[in-house]
Amino acid sequence: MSWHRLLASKIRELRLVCCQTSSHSEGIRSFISKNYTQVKSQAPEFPFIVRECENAIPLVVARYDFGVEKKVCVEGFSEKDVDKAVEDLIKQADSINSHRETH
Amino acid sequence: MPNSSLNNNPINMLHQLKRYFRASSRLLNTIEVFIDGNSIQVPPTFTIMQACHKAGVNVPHFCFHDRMAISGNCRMCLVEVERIMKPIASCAYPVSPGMRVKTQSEMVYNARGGVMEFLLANHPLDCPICDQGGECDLQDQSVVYGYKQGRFLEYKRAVEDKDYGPLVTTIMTRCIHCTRCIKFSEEIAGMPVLGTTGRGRETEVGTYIGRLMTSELSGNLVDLCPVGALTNGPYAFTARPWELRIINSFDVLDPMTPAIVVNTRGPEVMRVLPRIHDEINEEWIHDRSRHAFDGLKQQRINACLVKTQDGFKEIDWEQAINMAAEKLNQVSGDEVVGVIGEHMDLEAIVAFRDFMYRLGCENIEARRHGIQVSADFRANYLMNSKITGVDESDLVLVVGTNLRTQHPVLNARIRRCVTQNDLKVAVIGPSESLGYDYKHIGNSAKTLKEILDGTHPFAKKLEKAKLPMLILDSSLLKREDGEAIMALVQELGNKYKLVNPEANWNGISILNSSVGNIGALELGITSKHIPGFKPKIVYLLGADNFRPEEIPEDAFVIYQGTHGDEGAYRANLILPGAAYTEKSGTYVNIDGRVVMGRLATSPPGQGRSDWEILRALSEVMGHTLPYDDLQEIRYRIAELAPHLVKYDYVEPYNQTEWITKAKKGDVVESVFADQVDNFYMIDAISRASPVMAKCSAAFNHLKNSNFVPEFPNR
Ligand code: SF4
Ligand code: FES
Repeated sequence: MSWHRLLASKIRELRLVCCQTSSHSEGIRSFISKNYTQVKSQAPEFPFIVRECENAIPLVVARYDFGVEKKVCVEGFSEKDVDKAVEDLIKQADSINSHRETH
Repeated sequence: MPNSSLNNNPINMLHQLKRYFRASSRLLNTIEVFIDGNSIQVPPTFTIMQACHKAGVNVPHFCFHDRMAISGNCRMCLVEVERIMKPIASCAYPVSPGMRVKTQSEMVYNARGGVMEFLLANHPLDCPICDQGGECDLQDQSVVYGYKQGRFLEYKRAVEDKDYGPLVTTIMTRCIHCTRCIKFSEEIAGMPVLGTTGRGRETEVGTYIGRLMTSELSGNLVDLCPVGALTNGPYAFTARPWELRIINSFDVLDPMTPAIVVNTRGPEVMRVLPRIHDEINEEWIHDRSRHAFDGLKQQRINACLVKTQDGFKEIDWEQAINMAAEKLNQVSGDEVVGVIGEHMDLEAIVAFRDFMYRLGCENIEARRHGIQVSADFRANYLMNSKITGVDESDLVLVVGTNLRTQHPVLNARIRRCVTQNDLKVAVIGPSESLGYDYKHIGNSAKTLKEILDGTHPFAKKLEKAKLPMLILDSSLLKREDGEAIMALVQELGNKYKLVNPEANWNGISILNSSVGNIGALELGITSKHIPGFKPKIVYLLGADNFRPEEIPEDAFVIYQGTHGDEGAYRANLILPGAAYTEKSGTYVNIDGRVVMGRLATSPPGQGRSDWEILRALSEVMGHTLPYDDLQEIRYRIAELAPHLVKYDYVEPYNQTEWITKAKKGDVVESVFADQVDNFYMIDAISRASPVMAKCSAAFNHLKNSNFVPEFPNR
């Protein structure tokens, strides 16, 4: 997975909100379990914030430079789809960050 | 109530019902008794008084208190039981099957009238000048049971007042010898300094040798005393209960956030009392929570101030905000540092976070002196076993803290479990009197290592324990080897059953030192430590306990806060904020419980809620924060972490798998020192408080003296 290496340099924080039990959060939960160690081994300081809340709609939120946030609802996503969503968020990073700088 | 729908969730039900399961065998077999002719099913272990309460019948009482042993010496709770000749004390008499209790019969009324007459025989008639007036059990009950006329012609007895220190005023003539205060000092505070001397009419309650009551929980004596014998010293003669407004809130001076009642009269906070909350503070609060509020009236910053050559000059909000905006605009975001203070609410922290990030500043520091934990998962920084976990646990290892001065209320809970549940306690770190027997097994991280190797005798005990708990003080994590200690503890957790996924138990409990710290971690704020970094602007958000050497000489310091303390002293620009009783704010406690502190009074002078100031500043700078009122800012908090808007509730979280592994490293063999050298003065509010100053003068030298009753270490 290519995004692991880019993660820390492109975005400032990745925030994942999920429910502890609901099936709609299953994808994001297994995404967290699978990727956490790898993310941390490559960027130990990178904030990979996981917050659980019953019945919460699962979300992936990326924070870019200057506090710009993009969020994707991953309700009912499979683990692969969540992975894809994160990758997309990282891809957008360049355009969002440069946009703000010219601003 | 609001949580009912949440309780249907299986994970949560398991979490909460675990305790009931343990007790169910005892609760299941019940017997039938009759209270005033009504049948009721109660467990056979109940006393008559408990059965009466369950049946909704109130029985007057003085000495009985449901958190302490039964002494049965006031005799106010007399009831009649069929086929028993004499009236019996219901608080001390167990129920038996088919028992028929009468609480309203003539015999009962006569008996209680008699008891009341005896109590009043020696009780002074000074209700008009007594502080307890209006909330006195004796006064209330004498209205029902007292006789119109007294029959005693003798002089009333008089008793010399005792000196209990500046917090508790004694008028011992009023004492009715209920012994609640004695039981409290023995059973709850663990400091058996009170007792009775003399017999009959000569009975006196006091410390035998004129010693002060040095317990950190001594203020609770006042709540316990059913009459006006022990009254609140600093509050003396300032207000009557019927003048006070009652605001149910939570205290933030203690990171456990005990439930409190804030009593106000007009714009002034008159006193703070504890509220019953079984999952946090039972019904105790420590003396700082109770009495430090008078610091809110001293040393307050009530206007915007700017530092000039000849001292601070007052300016208005517009000038102040413009000046702050101008300064912040002059530098780029990464030359700014934000520091979040200990008592900050989530609203302020979230506004601060959003504001700083918009400026391009990533350097927000909330972990006092850099506590090395990760905010990724909640299990990394919370008390995973929960405060109520103490009740279930069978072995507690306290690492690096003196619980009695750091967390007196938690210590009281542990003490209760030591005496009632046969909980065993071991301590690595300062060995001070905690008020119960514990085993002191070491002083430094070396002992932790030995336990991990299995060479230490304690390792065997840890192995055998069913639900062991390890209480780790967060101050250890800010040492240079903080992360290594955490790694050691995590290894211990995996080797022994500290972390036990089958029982859904994680015994690694980190005691954070402030709500501001926890709040920031909940929102995912951790700072990136850059050695040698020299910021041009430092924004102190109510932060007073920072290290002055970390702020360069030439930095422009903006202090937004409440007190003229360390932060304001160093500041170039001061913006007046609001203290915890002056704003409606959300806080998270060491458990992860989200509590709402309520607005009791308005901030003095020009003071404003902290998030409002940040909102205004952001607008002037052209990075307007997208919320205009409390509702909207709470939506924003919910967006970041939805569990933070579930009030008075501990959101269950994955505490056994999702944990950040700390990096292993070498631990330094220095001693785990006691972090609190003066319990009465640890933050800006308590340092400003005259009462706390009196307490440190009166108590601190006694606490360090050799005459503190030590419990032999087993
Ligand atoms: S001082 Fe108050 S609490 Fe103590 S025995 Fe007397 S009446 Fe009871
Ligand atoms: S309450 Fe029963 S004897 Fe005091």
